[in-house]
Amino acid sequence: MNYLIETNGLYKSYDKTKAPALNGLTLKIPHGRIIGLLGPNGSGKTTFIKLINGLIVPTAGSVTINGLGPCPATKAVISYLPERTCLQSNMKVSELIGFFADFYNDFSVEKAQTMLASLDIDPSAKLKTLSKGTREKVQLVLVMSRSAQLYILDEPIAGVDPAARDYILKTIISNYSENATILISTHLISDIENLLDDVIFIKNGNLLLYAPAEQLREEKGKSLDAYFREVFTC
Amino acid sequence: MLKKLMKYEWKTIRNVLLVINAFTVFSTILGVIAMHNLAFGKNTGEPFPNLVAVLLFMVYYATIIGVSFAMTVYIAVRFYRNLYTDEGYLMHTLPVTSRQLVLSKLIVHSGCLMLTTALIYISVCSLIVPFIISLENEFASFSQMASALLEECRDIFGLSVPRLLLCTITTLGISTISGVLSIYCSVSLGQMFRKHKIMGSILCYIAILCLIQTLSTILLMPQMISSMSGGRLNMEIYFKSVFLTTGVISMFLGIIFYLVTLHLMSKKLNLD
Repeated sequence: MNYLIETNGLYKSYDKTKAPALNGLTLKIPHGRIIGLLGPNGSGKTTFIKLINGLIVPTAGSVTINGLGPCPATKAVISYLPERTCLQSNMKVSELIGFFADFYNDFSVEKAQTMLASLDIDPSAKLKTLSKGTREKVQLVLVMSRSAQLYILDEPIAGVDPAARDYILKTIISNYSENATILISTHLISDIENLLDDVIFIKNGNLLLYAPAEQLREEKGKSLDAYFREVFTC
Repeated sequence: MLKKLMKYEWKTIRNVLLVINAFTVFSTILGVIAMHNLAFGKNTGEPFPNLVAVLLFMVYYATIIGVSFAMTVYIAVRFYRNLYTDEGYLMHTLPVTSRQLVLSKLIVHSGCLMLTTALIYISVCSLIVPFIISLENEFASFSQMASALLEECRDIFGLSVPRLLLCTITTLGISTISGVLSIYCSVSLGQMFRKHKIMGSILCYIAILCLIQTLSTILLMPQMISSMSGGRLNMEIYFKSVFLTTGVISMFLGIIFYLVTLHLMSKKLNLD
C-alpha cells in the first residue's frame, strides 16, 4: 500500500538540555482520510506539522510525502494552514488570490471568490484592515480553494466565532476530494469529532495512539472529547 | 517560478524604492541650489556669507547618507521578515526551491540598490555642474573646457573617462551584489542563535564587515606598494589594481555568502 505520509523514528530537539519536541515518531498515514491530530499544548503537534512542511529540519529520523522528503514537489501537493497569519498584511485579498493562483496549479479562483462572498469578505480590502478572525478566514479560504492531496490545518477554528466555525467545518468537508487526506490539529475536539475518520494522540512527543475514531468511541464507550480529557487529565 | 517570485518581490519593494529615491532627487535640488550659491554667490563681507548654502549642503549630505543606509536596512528587514518570520510559513511552503527564493530577492534587491547608488552618483555629479559652468569663462569654448577636464581626469586616475566609467560600473555592480549577499548571509546566520536572532544577525553583519575590511587591506597594501615608483604613486597601475582586487574579493566573498545562505536555508531551517 502506498502511504501519503510516512515517518520513521522522527525526532526533533530544539534544546539538548530539554526533552525533545518529538521523540522518534513512526507512523503511516494513507490517502483519503480525515485525521485529528490531538494532544495538549507542547505535545509536539505543531512540530510534527512543521516537519511535514519542511519548515524545520529533523534532528534524526525521516518524513516522506508520497515517498519524497519535503521539497517543491511535496509542497505542490500540500495545502497548509498554519496557526498564525502568514500572509503579507499590505496585500489586498484579491492580490492574495492572484498570488495563490500564480504559484499553485491546483488553486481555483472561482472557488475562492465564492467562499469569500459567502463569508461577506470584500476582495478589495487590504488584509491589514481586516479583523484577526477575518484574516484567519481569508487564509482558510485560500487553503481550501486548492485541490491538494494533503490538507494540513493547524488550529483552523480556534480564532473564529462559533457561528463561523460551522461554515468553516462545512467548507472543509465540502471542498476536498475523496482521495485527499486532511490532517487537523485542534484543541476543540467536540466541534470536529464527528468529521474524523482517525485520531492520533500525541503526548510529550510520543505517539500515544493512532486508531479509527469510530472504533475508539465504541471501545471506550465515550466521545473522543471525553476520552481525550481522561487521557490528558492534568 | 523565479519570474513569479521576482514579480511579487518587485511589487512589494517598488513603493519603498520610489520614496527613498524621491529623497535623493529632492536633496539634489537643495544641493544644486547650495552649490550654485557657493559658486556664483557674492561675498557680502559677513563672517558666514553663505550660511544658508552651507546648511543646505549639510541637509543634502545627511540625506544622501540616510538614503543609502535606509535602502540597506530595508533589504535586510524585508529578507528577514519575508523568509524567517510568520511570512516565511507561506514562502517556504510554496513549490519553489530555496535557490529560487534567494535568487529572486537577490536580483530585485541588487537592482534596487544599484539604481539607488546610480542616482546618488548622478546627484553628486550634478553638484559639480555649477562649478563647471563657473569655469566656462576661463576657456575659449565649451569643447576646449571639456577636453581639458577629461585630460585632468586622466591625469588624476591614470585612466581615460570611458575606461574609468566601465571599471567603476563593473566594480560597483559586483560589490553591490556581494553586499546584498552579505546581508542575507548575516540574517541567515542570525537564525542559528536560539534567542535574540536579530541581535545575532547584526553581530554577524559587523563581523562580516570587519572580515571584508581586513581582507581588502591585506590584499590592497602590496598593490599600493608595487604601484610606487621613484617615491611617487603610479595612478594608472594603482587604480587598475584597486578595481581588479576589489572586484575579485567581492566576487569571491559573494559566492561564499551565497553558498552559506543557501545551505542554512535548505539544510538548517528552523522557523519559530
